[in-house]
Amino acid sequence: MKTNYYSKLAAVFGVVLASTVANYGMADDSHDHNGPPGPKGPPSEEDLAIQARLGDTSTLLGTTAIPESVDACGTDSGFTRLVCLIDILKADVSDEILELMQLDYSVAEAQNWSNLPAGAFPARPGVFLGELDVEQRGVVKAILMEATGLDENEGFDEIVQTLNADDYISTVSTDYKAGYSSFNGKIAFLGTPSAKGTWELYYGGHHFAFANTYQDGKLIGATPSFRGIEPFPSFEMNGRTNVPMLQERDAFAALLNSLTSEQKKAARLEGTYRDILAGPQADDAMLDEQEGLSVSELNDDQVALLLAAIETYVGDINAADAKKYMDKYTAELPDTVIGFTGTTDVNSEDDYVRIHGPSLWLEFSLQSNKSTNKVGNHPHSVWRDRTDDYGGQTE
Amino acid sequence: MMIRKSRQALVLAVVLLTGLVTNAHGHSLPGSVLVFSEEMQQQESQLTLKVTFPLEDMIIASNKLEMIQGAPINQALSEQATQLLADYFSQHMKVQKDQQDLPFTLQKAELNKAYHHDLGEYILVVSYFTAPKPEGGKLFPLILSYDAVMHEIRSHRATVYWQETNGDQQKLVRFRFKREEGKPKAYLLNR
Repeated sequence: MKTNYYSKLAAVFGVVLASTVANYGMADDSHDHNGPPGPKGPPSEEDLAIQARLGDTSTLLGTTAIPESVDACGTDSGFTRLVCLIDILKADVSDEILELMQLDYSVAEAQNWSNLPAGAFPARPGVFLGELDVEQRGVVKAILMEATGLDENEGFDEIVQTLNADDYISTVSTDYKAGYSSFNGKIAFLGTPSAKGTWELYYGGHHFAFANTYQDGKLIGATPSFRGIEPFPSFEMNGRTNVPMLQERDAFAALLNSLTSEQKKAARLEGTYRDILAGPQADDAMLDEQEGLSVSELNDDQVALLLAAIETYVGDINAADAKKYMDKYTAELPDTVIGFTGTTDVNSEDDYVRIHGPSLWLEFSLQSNKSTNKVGNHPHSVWRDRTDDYGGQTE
Repeated sequence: MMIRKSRQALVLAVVLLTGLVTNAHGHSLPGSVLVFSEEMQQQESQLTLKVTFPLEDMIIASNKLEMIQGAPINQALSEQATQLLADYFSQHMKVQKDQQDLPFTLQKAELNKAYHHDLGEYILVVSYFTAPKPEGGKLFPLILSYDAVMHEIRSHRATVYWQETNGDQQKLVRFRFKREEGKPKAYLLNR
């Protein structure tokens, strides 16, 4: 085991070093910019160690069986069952895995999420799915199903399909450093899951970030919540057709196409958006001033389309908690605006849609493909809540 | 919209033909980086400012600068191209000290290849400015107004550094597009 670890570590170091040496004319903004993190000189020992843990075997979370051990947590959905399932997982894993999975709570740690592939952003907290055995992954599945929505193509199903996307990319990409594989989804508990205190259930990987913050037995924040996918809109992998974000795009397109010419004019934003604003490591990027068309100008049918679009994100958390958020955002609709640039079909590069309310911040952006080497576009999107991102915690 | 798309297609075509990019940029390109420093020239201290941003984004932001895209890599841009760039900056960048404009002059600009792990290769526009160091006491605080590229590309950000003579860089500010009373928001630079 150790030999394997160190040989992988050496291999990763070799690849990274070769890549660093081969690079030329590095951008000066390697420190900090709105794109993904840039080359920062030699990788840290910690990053190398994480990259050495990357795997390339499929975890097939969608068809993984949930073990009978979870029966001890009963069938009543809710917070108590969620913590019970987590306790079962924590009791079953090795000390080494537990150390990776159970971390102290801090906003700084919670901010370590990304849209990037696992190899390009090693700082994500947690244990890789592939580092768990099949039964443990079954418990993870139960945990994620308890915390997420269960509709087709939403919530847990969206997680599975996003993992399938990385399995797909691994069949067409030669970027071996990126870690394209469903092995490399990560789960972590920031703070101790219990009925008292503050903690976050984190799940993330390439094109996915799920961050439910709980305090004293209640969900106090379900964001930042990132969704993206490549290939888009559809691909075959792991025995199924995957369309995890098609309904999000179609919901935005239905809304925009329902607008009158005058409404479209009011909703059209100035400028070009090549990506979302409030992506990873951009918590400060949500605008203070609203731009676009006031929802108060919409008729009932259009409002229904807007709520349907919002629900494709809010519905990714479990139904009871989703309802609370939908009620809040519905109450705030008179003070919410819609903005977009590009096409109303939301099918072209640099198309962009934004819903901006007193609490709600929802962005959807289409940009050219990166990982599949195929001509086309893929979405990045984020659901944030301006009042309770990270559960409203500050440290 | 059609014009912008055509422009983007043209930029991509030229870039691909010149073999400078290995893949499309599936994530937003890096933002602007402004690095202020101080150097001695003929026994006089002067301020320098190096500004970099991706060529692809610049062309989308200003079609007047399209002619720059065919320039040779790592060679100073032609006088005409440099003047175009200087004109562009004059509309999108201003540095002030004690409410007086610091007269930064574009001395040289060139295209450089750059590499990013997640983006592959892309081309940077690198512009070198100088300005006489203000007489008197401390250089800082300065006031910076800057909206190059981001006046069009709203997902573009700018990061500003001060560079010590030993090469160490200190981040001064990072910002996105914002207007106040119709003008680019001014940012206080202080150390």
